Amino acid sequence: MLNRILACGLSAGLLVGLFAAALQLTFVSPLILKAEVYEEAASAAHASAPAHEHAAGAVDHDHGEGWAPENGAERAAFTTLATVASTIGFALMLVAAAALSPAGLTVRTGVAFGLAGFAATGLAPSLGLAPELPGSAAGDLLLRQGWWIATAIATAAGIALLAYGRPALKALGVALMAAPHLIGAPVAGAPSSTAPAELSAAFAAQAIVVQAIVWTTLGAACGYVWSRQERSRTAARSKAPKSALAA
Amino acid sequence: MTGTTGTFGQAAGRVDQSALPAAFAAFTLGALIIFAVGFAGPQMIHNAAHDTRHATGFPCH
Repeated sequence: MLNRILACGLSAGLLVGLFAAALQLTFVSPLILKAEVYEEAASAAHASAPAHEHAAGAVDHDHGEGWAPENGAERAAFTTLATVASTIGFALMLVAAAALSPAGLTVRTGVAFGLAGFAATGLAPSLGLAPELPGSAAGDLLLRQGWWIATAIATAAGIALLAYGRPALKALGVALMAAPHLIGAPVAGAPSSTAPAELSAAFAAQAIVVQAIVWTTLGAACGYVWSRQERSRTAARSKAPKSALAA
Repeated sequence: MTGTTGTFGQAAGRVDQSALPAAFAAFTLGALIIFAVGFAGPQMIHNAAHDTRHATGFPCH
């Protein structure tokens, strides 16, 4: 069973991850590079201070500290690698959850699982912490990471309870989904950004749309691979019932 | 879903208890990968995964 989940998650995650990287490099990355031009200009304006010592409260943007991929092919390659890895990670979680689901995993239910994943990791965190360009003012990083993870878990658990729970548990599911937003995300005191507002708006919209496309595609791909595995197992079982039972 | 088969040919509509350990292991592995790409602190990992973190909406800076 573990092998089947791993094979399904790895193959679907790899393929969809390459597609996701292509989308990111086409739509999202150019905006990040543009934002960095503004960010570097802003930090050059502080040139009277030693290099990379930002004003208090400014966002600490870390290019130049330690190793970083060179802009161009090297940076695109690392972005592709990281995106393929994260897509495989999401795929493994999706297939593992679907393997336990009474609904089974097909292309159709896979899309539903993908939409649930998008709600948990894309929509719900964005309601409190919009996708940010480099150079945006933000609250404490660890607090924001903690809020992000807690929101994703609460939303995913809430969706599972809504889908499969008894009525009382469905109410708990709604409460779980609402809780992170009632508590509130740890945001910056005064919003500010070195990049123009239009750039930030375009980035947030494109990042969310790309996530929606990637999650839907990933769910469908996982469902497709899982169904293929099902068919080949069934075929093997009808050919050699005894050995299939032993497997 | 009547007539369809779920995990390993089981009738749909039931959770396959035998899948729990494998599903838990795969889910944990996936979560660890997400943590490494999206949240891990070391500067080198941050810089390598920087654009992916921003594009995926992970808090980055």
